[in-house]
Order: sequence, then structure tokens, then C-alpha cells
Amino acid sequence: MGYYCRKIGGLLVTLLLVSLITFGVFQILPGNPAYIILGVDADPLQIEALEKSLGLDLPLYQRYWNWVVGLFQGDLGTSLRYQQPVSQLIADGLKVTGSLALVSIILTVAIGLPAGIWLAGHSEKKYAVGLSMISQLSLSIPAFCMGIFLINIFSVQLKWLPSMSYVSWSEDPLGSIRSLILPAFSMSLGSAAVLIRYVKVSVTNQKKQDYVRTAYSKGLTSRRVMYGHVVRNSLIPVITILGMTVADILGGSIITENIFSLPGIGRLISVSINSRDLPLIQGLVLYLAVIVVICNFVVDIVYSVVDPRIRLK
Amino acid sequence: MKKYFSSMSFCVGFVLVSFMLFVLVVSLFWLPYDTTAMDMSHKLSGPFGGHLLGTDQFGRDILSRLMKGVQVSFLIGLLVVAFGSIMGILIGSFAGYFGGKVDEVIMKLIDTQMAFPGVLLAMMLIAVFGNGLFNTVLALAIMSVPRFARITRSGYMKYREADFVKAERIRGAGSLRIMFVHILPNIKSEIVATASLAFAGAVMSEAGLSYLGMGVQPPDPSLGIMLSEAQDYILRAGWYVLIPCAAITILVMGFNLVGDGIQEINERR
Repeated sequence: MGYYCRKIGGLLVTLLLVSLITFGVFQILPGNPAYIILGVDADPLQIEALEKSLGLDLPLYQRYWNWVVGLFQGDLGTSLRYQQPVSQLIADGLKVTGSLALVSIILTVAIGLPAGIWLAGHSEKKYAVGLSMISQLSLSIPAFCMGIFLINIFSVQLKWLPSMSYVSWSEDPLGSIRSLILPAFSMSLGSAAVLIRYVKVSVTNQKKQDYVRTAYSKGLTSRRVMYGHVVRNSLIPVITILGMTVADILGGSIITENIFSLPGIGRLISVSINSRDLPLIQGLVLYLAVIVVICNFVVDIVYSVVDPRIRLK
Repeated sequence: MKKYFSSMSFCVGFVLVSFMLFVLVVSLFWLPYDTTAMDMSHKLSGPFGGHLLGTDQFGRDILSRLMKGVQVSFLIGLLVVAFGSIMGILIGSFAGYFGGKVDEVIMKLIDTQMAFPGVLLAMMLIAVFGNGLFNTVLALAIMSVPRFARITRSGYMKYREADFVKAERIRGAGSLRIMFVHILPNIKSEIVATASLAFAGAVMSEAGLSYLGMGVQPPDPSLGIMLSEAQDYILRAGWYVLIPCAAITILVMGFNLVGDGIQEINERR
């Protein structure tokens, strides 16, 4: 129980720090935000009105408090560019980014897990070297290069999959998956390479354990030993990697959504930064950071349920 | 140095990095053409004509722009690693050496920073301070601090109760002397490996930011800018897209492999 209390305490402190950083960074903005939004030669009355509506005439702690209270009421302010509530924009973007992340994670696991397990069984040097080169290559090709080439091959030349068009899940489920395959693939390649390595190392370590020798001497087939014992135990550390993958995929979506013109969170971020839409940037940054923190928290909890020894450390 | 060549990763990485270093050194003294000189009569001409790697949509020489872009990438990579490692090593050594409350507070801050995924933190800083070379370096350096801090911290935790450290303490050496004269040299190779990986990360992030128009500003060539300009011409001039992609990949892969190779040898010891 103490373990969980500590974890929840840690989560709350991290969330507090994340909110302070997100709020603080945008307060050290050089110059008056109202001037930045309206331009230097704006009417003083307009500036004053905007300052009031942004709450800039209040002291700093008061503004932070209002902002946090707003957060709990689901009010993240109004986007200057879109003239819509930030929470509404995020909710719309999340549908796209969420499905993109889901497809990417499924692809990552579908590629990384079997490949890692297979490689652990084939430790000959030629496979090991080949793997490390291929995984290095897929880690080193930037996602946007990969995206451009995938669009060129599969959409332009072969015309198999659409590009630059997003079909929502409720309109056409199959079309939605088709429109997400290319972006998801370009993002999951790198994370699959990471997953393969971890699965391989983890399976190789487990195979050296005593219980594996016992299982063999009981007369189990190597298949049973592998899938009934080794793989199950090796997946424990892999949970951590999956948690980290969520963060990577959310970070990667910023660039990938721009290449594929997907109307998700990532695209909103680059639009909001280029148009200096501060309430929107602030809301988006906070939102992504909170998702990552909560994911890490869930991973810690799942980890401790799967492997109770962790709670004693 | 010699022992590292027994690692395949290190050898391949070394070759790739040396190649890019060669390009860098040549570019410092000689460029085939002016990087911003336009020649409208030779737009998007293919490679191996008058221009070795062809010309872009304004008739500018791609090879010259590529070489200049490699300069920018190396400059950013070096500055990011320099700033990031200094800050990270300082933070990590205090956390690792003193432990306890200091460590707890520092690690909590580092964990909080890790909550901002990928280039998000860099983009946030660029949104505040504006874009440009220096701000890009600053943003990416801050992004790389946790990496250095973590590796330094774990090194210090390993050595802080080592016999040679106890001996120094008995001889009356101060904490700072023990930290930076006695312990730091022992984790040199871990830090070099991290620096190599961080360099690759910085090159990749810079290209990504420039691709989105948030890094180095045109007309200065950067590999990311070249790529974002090139992608509109992918049907007419596929090689134009391929060239900056290949340069980024070789640079990133080279430094990643060197870093991995060093780590591999460290673990083998």
C-alpha cells in the first residue's frame, strides 16, 4: 500500500511541476503578450482590453491560480487564431492523434515482438550484426524522410493507399485505417527497432535462468519452454519500453502529422507556434505532458502488479 | 582507442562519421558554387551535369548547399553537446555524489522535464524566445541535459563509496576535488558514448525543427530546410529529396553507431 501512496504522491508532485513549468515558460516571454498578439502599433485601448481579457492585469500567483482552477473545469482558454475554446480544439485533434498513436503502437508491437523473440533464438553473429545495422538504419532515417518516401511509393507511384487525406473513424472505419497506415508505419519503424533490441536482450537473459534448465529437464519441448515460460517472463521489462514508446509517438506525431496533413494535436502544435497562439500552445503542451506523466504512472503500477518484487525495492 | 575497433558498430560508425567530417573540412575551405547564387536557366537539372548533385528549384547548386548544411548540422551538434554535457554533468554529479534529498529534488526535476516528449520542449522554448540558430541550440541543449545527468549520476553512485574515493576522503580531499578530479575521469567513456548519441539526436531534431520552419531560417541552407523545400518536387526531381535525406541519415547513423559501439565495449569490460 505504501508503495502505491508514494507513487500517487510522486504523480501529483510531477503534475504540479509540469503545470508550473508550462505556465512559467510562457510568462517569461519577452515583451507584453498583448503587443505580440496585436502588433507593436496597436491602439492602447485595444491593448488594455486584451490585457483584461487575458487577465494580464492580475498578479502572477492569481493568474496561475485562475489558470489551474480553469483546468479543473475543463477551461483552457480560447484560441486566438481559431476563436474556439482550446479544450474543444484539443478534443477534436485527439481523435486523430489518438487513433494514429493506437495504430502505431499496434504496428510497433506486431513488428518488434516477433522479430525480437526470433532473434533471441538465432544468436549467430551474422544475424546479430544484420539486425543491429537494420535497426540502426531505421532509427537514423528521420520520420519525415520516411514519410515522404512512403507517400511517394505507396500513394503516388502504386496508388495503393491515400495520402494527405484523413477519413474519420465514424465515417468509414476501413478508410480511416487505410489513411492511418502510412503515417503510423513511418512512426513505428523507429520504435519497433528499439523494441526489438529490448525484447532480444530480455529473452536472452531469461534463457540463462535456472528455471529454464529445470523446465528442459522436466522434458518440456523447447516450444513450451519458450512460449510458456521464457517469453512471459521476458515481457515484464518490455512494459517499460511500451510506456516510453507512447511518449515517443506523441512527440513524433508533431512532425508526422505535418507531412501527412493529418488534423491532429501535432499539427495544431506547429500551427499554434507559427501563429503565436499562446493559449493554444500552453493548453497543448500541458495536455501532452500530462498524458506522458499519466502513461508513466500506469506503467509503474502495471509493472508492480506483474512483478510484485518491485514494490519492496 | 584501439580496443573500440573490435566493435563492428564502432567501425561502421567511424567510417560514416569520418566521411561526413571530410565533407565538413572540405566545405570550410572550398565550395563548388555560391550557396545562394541562383541560375534560373538551370532549374532542377539532374546530377552529373555541370553540377555534381544537380540544382534545386532556383537553380542553386545542391552540393554546395548540402556542404553548407552539413556545416550547420555539425555546428549545432557540437554546441548542443557542449552546453548539454556541461549542464548535465554538473547536475548529475551533484545528484549522484551527494544522494539523499539533493538527488531526490534533482531527479524529480529531470523526470518532469522528460514529461515533455520529443521536440515539444524545444518547440515550446522556440515559441517563447523566437527562432534562429542560437535559440535552436539552446532549446536542444536543454532537451539533452537529462541524458547526461542520468548517465553521470549512475556513474557517481557506482564510485562514491569506492576504495579510492574513501582513501581521498581520508587524505582530506574536498568534495569538489573528489567529484571532478577523481571520479569524473572514471566515467569518461560513458559520457563520450552519451555525447555521441546526443549529437545524433541534436542533428535529427534540428532537421525536424527546420523542416517545420522553426529552426535555422532561410536562405541559410540546413539539411531540414533543403528537405522541406525538396519535397514539393519529389515527382520531377526524386534525387533532390534523396540527397538531404541521405546526408541526415549518414550523419545520425554514424554518431549513433559510434555511441553504441563505445557502450558495447564498456559493457564488455
